[in-house]
Amino acid sequence: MNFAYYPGCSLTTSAKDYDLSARAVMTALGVGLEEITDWNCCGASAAPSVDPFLGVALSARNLALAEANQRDVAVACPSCYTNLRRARAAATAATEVGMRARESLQEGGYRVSGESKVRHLVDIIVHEVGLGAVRSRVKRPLTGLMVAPYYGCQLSRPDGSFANPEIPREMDELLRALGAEPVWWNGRTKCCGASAMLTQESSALHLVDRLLTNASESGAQIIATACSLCHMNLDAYQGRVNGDLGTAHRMPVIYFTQLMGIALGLEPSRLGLGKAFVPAPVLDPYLEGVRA
Amino acid sequence: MTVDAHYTGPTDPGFAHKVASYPGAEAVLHCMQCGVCSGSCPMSEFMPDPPRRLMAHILAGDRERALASESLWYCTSCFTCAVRCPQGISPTDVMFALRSMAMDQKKSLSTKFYKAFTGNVATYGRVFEAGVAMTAATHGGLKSMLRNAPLGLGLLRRGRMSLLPHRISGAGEVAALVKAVANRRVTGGKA
Repeated sequence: MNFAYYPGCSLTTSAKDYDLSARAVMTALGVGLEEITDWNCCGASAAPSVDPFLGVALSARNLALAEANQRDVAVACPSCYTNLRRARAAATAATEVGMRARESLQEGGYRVSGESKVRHLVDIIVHEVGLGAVRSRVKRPLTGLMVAPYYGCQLSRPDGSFANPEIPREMDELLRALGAEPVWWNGRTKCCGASAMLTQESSALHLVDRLLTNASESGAQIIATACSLCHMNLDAYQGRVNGDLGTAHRMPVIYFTQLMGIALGLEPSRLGLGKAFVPAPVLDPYLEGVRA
Repeated sequence: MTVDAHYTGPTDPGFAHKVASYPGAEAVLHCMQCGVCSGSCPMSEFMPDPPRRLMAHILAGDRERALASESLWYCTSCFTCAVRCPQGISPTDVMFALRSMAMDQKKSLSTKFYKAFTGNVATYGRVFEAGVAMTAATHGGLKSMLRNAPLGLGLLRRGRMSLLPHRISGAGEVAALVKAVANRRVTGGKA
């Protein structure tokens, strides 16, 4: 099983740990990820804010590159994932808006046929590799670990994703396959504030505070995320939440691929562990004997 | 129809149709003012005009009030409103359309940030995270720089920040694409 891999900008810098662990885990599961040569930024929420047609065009170029290699696209970052699949829909739509999108693409020399599907890593792992195959590869079950599965926004929204937009279950099931205990919590699909952390900071800090409170009140020892921006806001800004709002959160945040890597018995150095701000001593028992 | 106490009449009767000409915002005319968007929005409580009220401004042709609202810049594109709207509207995309129209009307941290981000993509083909973060971090002057310094250093120490932008070899192609879209925007005359 091979995919055209679209890491997205954050995975090359602030979310290197996500990229490292994603590649290691997918290799261990027998999924080939061939990075799209010379991919460009999807524009996140900035390009569509400047011009929604630009948002479509930027992702369309990446789709055109993947289509040239006749591969479906595997994406890690939910924002890139959403932008790619929305661009695929817009660029192939039989509407006036679709026509206008195609015109600017043609001018730039690109054509999107829609042949390449856009898949998120969680989708590929749960629906292509399968939870049975994951379970059979678990070497160090995460028994007893209480994990809050954090889907965030763009993994399941808007519609057309692999998951139910209101009550997605895929990460819960995946965590269970690893031997962990997914906790039920209200924050699972609530927004972390995303890039508003940079532009509307005080509002975003409140959103993060509520998520952290809800996760810990629900019994979680750690939050598992599939999004680099969620990780940034919940982890790197946790100290600021505590400082500004007078809270005392100490909630570790980890990429779901890092948890998978630990459970699959992969070398911790390949998982980018220890790059988060909030320490995760709760993982120590599962790393005993592996960690140098 | 009176949408609020200060309503002064439509300034642009075709405004809703203009909004509807943007990708994803096509259904805006179907709004029935139920307020599910406002009830679902995680940022509603911080917004001066929650999404439902913005939709009312649009439907009323009150272009000025819609584009001047600070609320546009609170949307996190979480799409909760979009999956819940019983009329099939994506208020998230309506927000994008409004932002796009308001982008050059005034200078704020948000417009600066989105332009810096998109400018990066047009120049390098990718976003230079440290660069756009600096745009935001320096906006509030020295105080804000000092406040954000530990975070930046923390990322740097963890090998999570690159101090130089990465230029892809197809950066020229991306720049041409950006230009093609921008040209169409002017000549298309729809925005």
